[in-house]
Amino acid sequence: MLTKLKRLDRGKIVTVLITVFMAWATGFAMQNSDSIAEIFGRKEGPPLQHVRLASADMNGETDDVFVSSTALPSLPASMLRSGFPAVRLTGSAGLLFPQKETVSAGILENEARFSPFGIACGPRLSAIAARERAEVRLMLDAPCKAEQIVEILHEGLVFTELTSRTGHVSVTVPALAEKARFTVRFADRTMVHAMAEVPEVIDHDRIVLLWQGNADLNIRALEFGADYGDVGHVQAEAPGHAAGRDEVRGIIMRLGRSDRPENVRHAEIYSFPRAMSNRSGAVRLALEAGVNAFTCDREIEATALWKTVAGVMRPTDIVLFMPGCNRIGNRLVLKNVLPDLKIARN
Amino acid sequence: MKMLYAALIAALVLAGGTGAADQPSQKKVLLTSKDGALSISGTLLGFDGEFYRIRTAHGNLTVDGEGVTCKGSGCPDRENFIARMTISGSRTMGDVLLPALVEAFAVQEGMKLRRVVRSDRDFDYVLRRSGDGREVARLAFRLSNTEQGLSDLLAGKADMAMALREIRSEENDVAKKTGLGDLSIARRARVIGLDGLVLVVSPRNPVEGLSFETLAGIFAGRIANWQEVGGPDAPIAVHTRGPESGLTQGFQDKVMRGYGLVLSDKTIVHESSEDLVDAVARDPFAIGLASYSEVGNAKVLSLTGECGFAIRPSILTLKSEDYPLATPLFLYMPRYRFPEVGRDFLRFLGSHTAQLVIRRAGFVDQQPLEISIGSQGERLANAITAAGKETKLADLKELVAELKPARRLSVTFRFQAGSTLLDAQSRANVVLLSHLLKAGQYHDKTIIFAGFTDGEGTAETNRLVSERRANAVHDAVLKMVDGIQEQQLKFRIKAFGETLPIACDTEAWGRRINRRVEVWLR
Repeated sequence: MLTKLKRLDRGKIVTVLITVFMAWATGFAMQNSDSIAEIFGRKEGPPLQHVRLASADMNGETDDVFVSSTALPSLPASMLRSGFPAVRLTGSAGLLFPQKETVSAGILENEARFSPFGIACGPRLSAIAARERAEVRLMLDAPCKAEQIVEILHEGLVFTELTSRTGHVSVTVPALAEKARFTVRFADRTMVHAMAEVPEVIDHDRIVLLWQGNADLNIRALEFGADYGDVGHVQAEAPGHAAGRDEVRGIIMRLGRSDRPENVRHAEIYSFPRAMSNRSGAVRLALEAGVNAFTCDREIEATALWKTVAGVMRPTDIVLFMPGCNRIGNRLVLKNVLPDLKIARN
Repeated sequence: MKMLYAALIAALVLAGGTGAADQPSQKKVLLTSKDGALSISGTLLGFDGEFYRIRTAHGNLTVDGEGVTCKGSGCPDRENFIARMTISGSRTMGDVLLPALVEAFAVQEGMKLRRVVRSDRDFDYVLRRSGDGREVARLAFRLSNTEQGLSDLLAGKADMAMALREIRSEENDVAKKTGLGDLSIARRARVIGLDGLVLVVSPRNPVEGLSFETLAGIFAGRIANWQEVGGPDAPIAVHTRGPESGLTQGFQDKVMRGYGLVLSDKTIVHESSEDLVDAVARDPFAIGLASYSEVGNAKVLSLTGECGFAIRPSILTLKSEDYPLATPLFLYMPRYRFPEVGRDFLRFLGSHTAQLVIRRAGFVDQQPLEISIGSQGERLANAITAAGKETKLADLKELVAELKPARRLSVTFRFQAGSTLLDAQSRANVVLLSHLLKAGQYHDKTIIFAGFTDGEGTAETNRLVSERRANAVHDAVLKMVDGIQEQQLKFRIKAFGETLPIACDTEAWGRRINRRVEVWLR
């Protein structure tokens, strides 16, 4: 029997195996696009479209298609149907899908380098605007920087993220400028950039709070006369909904992840959709700081960003003198560090 | 040597108050002239980056730092001089406005800013140079209220006091005695913007306006139920700031005193205007005394008069002080010189950017508004309605003929009772108008000083009085613009007596508003 096999064309066996794998992979992808999406961190956004993976014909030319959401002008539409990169195989026969063309926005590194999974290092950053909410969905693919801390920067906003095992990060960030530029900075100081146009930014009033590590800080908003616990009381534990049926409200977003709490650079953004407001009055903003074992009797640094009269987001550095450790459990409420929003009815 | 000695003497100015920014503890210094011939020892009161202020056996002296060397534990670091100033007083001014102005100032100067916070009332701004990050100034804010701020200034604990009222004569006496100077002059009592005392109720309260007399009654506790003012049968919950707040004191002086009443001690007291208006907004049976700049979610009432006039607080009625409870925002400062960064900040307060900041913070800025006669229809209608027995149609026609082709400037001048002496806000207005004229503003216009009086007395007497007042303003402004050729500026004096009242003569506050000099441009 074995001798018979030996006489078979080894290439044909490989071909068969690859074909079988491809068929399986395609079927797997089609049935499990959601879970694949989860692995690659795409929970929401446009529905995944299926890739027509390259044929098993070894002599045919195939393209590895890495799709990013900014336009890929040269590829035909039929190719642009995948939400995740095609898997490149190196079988024992040393066959590779020859890479004809890799198209993506924001590639700054040498494409010839590959991750342990055989994916090109990139890294690649894409930025898609969700215009109504003036937010941007950032998607980072850095397969050679798996499980690393990265910093994401945008107009003074800074926060840390942790890449997945496949080097992926997916995060939604509120835009702070019409031409919203984003930079991801890696530990080795390399960077990758992306931009999205978000003209709706001017419809939203935003205030940003940045801090690091174990400090327990948050923004507290009381909208239009709301008291603590009322519907208009917005803070991270009760982030709110941007637009109810009857009333327009603000929301709070919290960003920042890392491997350990002390390494996190946090960002909290309160956003109020001013242009849609059917109410007028004041939104009371306060900075709250919890007195805990890490912060008691110490000076805590933070930065706040808000728009100046000139319409530019400006940082104000803040140093808080925290109460003594006999006050652990208390919460400092500072009402004048962050400016209140005064909203006029539209 | 003689020259140096003479120069040193020349540099001494017998004056100087206590410098607040540095601790008043024992900072012994020995200042020696560079040739070693002369030395003075004493306690350092302050250093502004250029001049030392020391207390010696001979009194307080100011010494030019260039001419001397300093020895002793109290000597400041001249190389790495950090300007330190303390700003103390009103929460109305210190919660939002002054910090916003400091922030905008830092941006303009290209300086980095850091806010060091111990609480909402106790915080510092540290300003650093952009290039090397060297600290150049530390501005310490200590917020309490108008009364405490002035007290701190007088005690040498603050370099600037934020106040919502004029300094009282007793307080000024102390200032003069301790060498701080006469704080009633315009240079020491800078008006950086305007606010107003406003009466607020919940948006669910149907009341739209109340008279002075009713308000005095409510805040004295004499009128205790909404039924007495046409509302439902419910007790009135009265909200105020504390007794040392400039708001409370201003209301006491301008409203309650006129009826011989004092503020009830049963009011609900709040530490900040923000807390006050938020509490009032939530309670349909509440009324509160707040600032125009911090109304939050509450509703503002008009002030009504017996004769039917109602005056709402607005940017225009506050700028022109037609709204009787306009509160100038005073920054009081002593006669000693501030460090350069402090002087730069004061200069910045008059800039266009500063006006934008003042407006955005909800206050009324200093820039005069020009208003055409068309937008003053209501005033004219009121005037015609309330025209006294002695106001003839001919008078009104003359007024309209004079003023129709002109535009009114919001800058208005008012007087201390029964005189041609300008009140504090008006003295500041003289400075304001003269600055504008010196800057070439209105150079192609005729500036009309139009005098008006209240209805007391005969029409003829009032015409004379209004003429005297218009002349007084004209003279004061002319004195200030000294330097410009008189021919370059065209002035005109008009006296309209009691022809155009804007408030009811039946009440003291109404008469006070009516007594004014307006500025019109043609």
